[in-house]
Amino acid sequence: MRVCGQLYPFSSSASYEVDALLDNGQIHISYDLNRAVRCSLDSLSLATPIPGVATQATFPSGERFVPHSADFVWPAHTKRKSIAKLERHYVMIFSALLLTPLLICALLFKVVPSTAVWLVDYVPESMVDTMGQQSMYLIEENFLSPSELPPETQNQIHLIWDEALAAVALSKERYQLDIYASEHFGANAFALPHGQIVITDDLIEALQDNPNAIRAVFLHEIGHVEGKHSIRLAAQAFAGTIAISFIFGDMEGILELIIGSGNLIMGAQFSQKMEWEADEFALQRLARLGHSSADFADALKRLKTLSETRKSTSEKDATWLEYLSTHPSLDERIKHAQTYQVN
Amino acid sequence: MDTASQPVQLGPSTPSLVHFSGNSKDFFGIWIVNLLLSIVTLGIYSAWATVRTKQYFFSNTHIDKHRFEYLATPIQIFKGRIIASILLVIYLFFTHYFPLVGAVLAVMITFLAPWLINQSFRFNMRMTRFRNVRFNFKGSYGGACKVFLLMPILCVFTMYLLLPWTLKKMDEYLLTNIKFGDKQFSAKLSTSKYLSALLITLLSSFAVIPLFIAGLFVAGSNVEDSPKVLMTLIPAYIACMYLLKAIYQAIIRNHVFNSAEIKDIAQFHSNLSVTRFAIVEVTNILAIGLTLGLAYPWAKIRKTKVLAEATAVTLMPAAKDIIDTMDSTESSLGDEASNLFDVDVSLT
Repeated sequence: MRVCGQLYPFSSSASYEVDALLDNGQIHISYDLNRAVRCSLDSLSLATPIPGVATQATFPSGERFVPHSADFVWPAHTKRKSIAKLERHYVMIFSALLLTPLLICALLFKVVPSTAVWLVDYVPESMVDTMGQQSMYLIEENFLSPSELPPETQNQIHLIWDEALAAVALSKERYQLDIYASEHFGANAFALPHGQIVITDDLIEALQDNPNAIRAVFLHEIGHVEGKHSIRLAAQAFAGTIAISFIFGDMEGILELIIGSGNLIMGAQFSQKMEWEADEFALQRLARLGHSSADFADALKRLKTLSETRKSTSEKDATWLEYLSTHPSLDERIKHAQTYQVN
Repeated sequence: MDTASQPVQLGPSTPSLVHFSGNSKDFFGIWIVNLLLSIVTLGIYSAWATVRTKQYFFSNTHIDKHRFEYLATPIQIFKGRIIASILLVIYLFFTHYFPLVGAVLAVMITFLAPWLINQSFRFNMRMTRFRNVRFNFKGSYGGACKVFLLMPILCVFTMYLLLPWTLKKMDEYLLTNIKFGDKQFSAKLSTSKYLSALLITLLSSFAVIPLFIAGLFVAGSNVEDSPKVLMTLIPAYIACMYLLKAIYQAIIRNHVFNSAEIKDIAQFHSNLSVTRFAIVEVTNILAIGLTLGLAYPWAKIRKTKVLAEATAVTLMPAAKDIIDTMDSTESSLGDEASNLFDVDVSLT
């Protein structure tokens, strides 16, 4: 059998148009008027076949032969199974087409979140503290200023806090409340992983006449700390980024964007779940303390009016945006709080 | 019985077109099967996938019947990925859990970046072979620091007035440090070309952005309806970015190719049509978005074809006498032990 192709002698940029002669398990190529190379087919080292690419053979003496035709198959490759055959196999391509999206979803929505939950149990206490303190330092520097509320109001709030802590039997050493003014956060409260809870002046003003609602907000935030939510969130983002960059390492821009937004949606869903968990925590404790779950619903309703007056655009059509938002729709949460029953 | 073969004659100074012979059908199979295998093996196979993809594109790119070759082994890529992943884990770990340490690390990474750029570029050059001769890259840390760190900082402080010059210096650094065998690339790039490319891109953006805002209003998206606005806004924004990027890239590519040469060995030519390239890039990205990524193989083949068709190389007779310095001066032992970091430290 004759195979035409290109011959490259060892280590030089010269090349020759040649016919390779395959016969009796031997390959023979003559080139450059009087030079020739010959060896048994078995001692050729062949490149890994790729669909649509001619497979190069290297002689033991260093010469390389590249057939012209991409369809030429070396005798040694005819029977062997190879990835190239899978890449040409219609059944394989079709099943890859179905399986790939399924697996990407499973990875983003199942494997990564459960890895995060598993990771959280192995995060040492000291690290949680450092993480919380450093985040607080950055937040304080950038977004918070000292509270402008009169001292008596502040004392009142601290009293509610102490009561709430005592009522749920949590130590004052583990938990700490701070009041700040903040343009950036508006009426808001948040919890840091090491047990520091921050409430803003605006939120206190909005709920001032309703101490029960403030207590409910505190319990909700404590729920975040008890559930180790920020650590889970960080672990989640962490695991997601690693998985995506490692598995889909060599994709170009837009694919990363598509898969990255999948990761984002999953992250948002994950934190929605946490809001529900913290709500659940607050409602449970309120019920146990003999307070009405309506307190919490009240607090949420106030927040709702606040956010509605601040944003002029209505959100009634934004049903799918809810999927992306960090907080589950306030309406849903209010409804949940109003109908909450201890089971 | 044998046709005694002649050395391939190199016509004196006739440019030969670059030819790309890949097709979407073959590449789709390679892509989707490799993607599946990468996911199933939790990313381990992606090193093999990268090598197969690169080999497919390199081997299907020919000049004068000679194809390019990609020589990296999956294991080299895999090692590089492991190193890069460890670095990424460390970095993410600190930014998520210890934000202050993370900030310090970010500064350290800034100083590591020039080294990483050199490393990655050098690796990719060394792993490219044409006509039995490997490419190489001789950039130094100092050189890379100057163009990728110092000049951009200078740029910021001069209100980006130095941007064209900086971009030129970056391309010049990368290009003139490339070697083909023992022969060095050279290039005479002009700052004014970069300036005009930037200005044309800027002017196009003045034309494109109002057009796209007007388009949104004509489409009747009312502002209240935020999901619909987002659904049209984001793709339109991405398409705009790709359009502008394509305009700039096409102009610069033509300039860089047409000014580059390997003295007495080869000259490069590019006559990429800016409109054609821009249309290809924008329609590619829209097709990829609409098919949730499935059009990617088609788009990539299409782009590569357009780029290859616009490129030509004039090889001079001396080209056949180049010696591959790497094969002769480095023993195989030296190659084995070359250094721990003879890997492409990158996830991409």
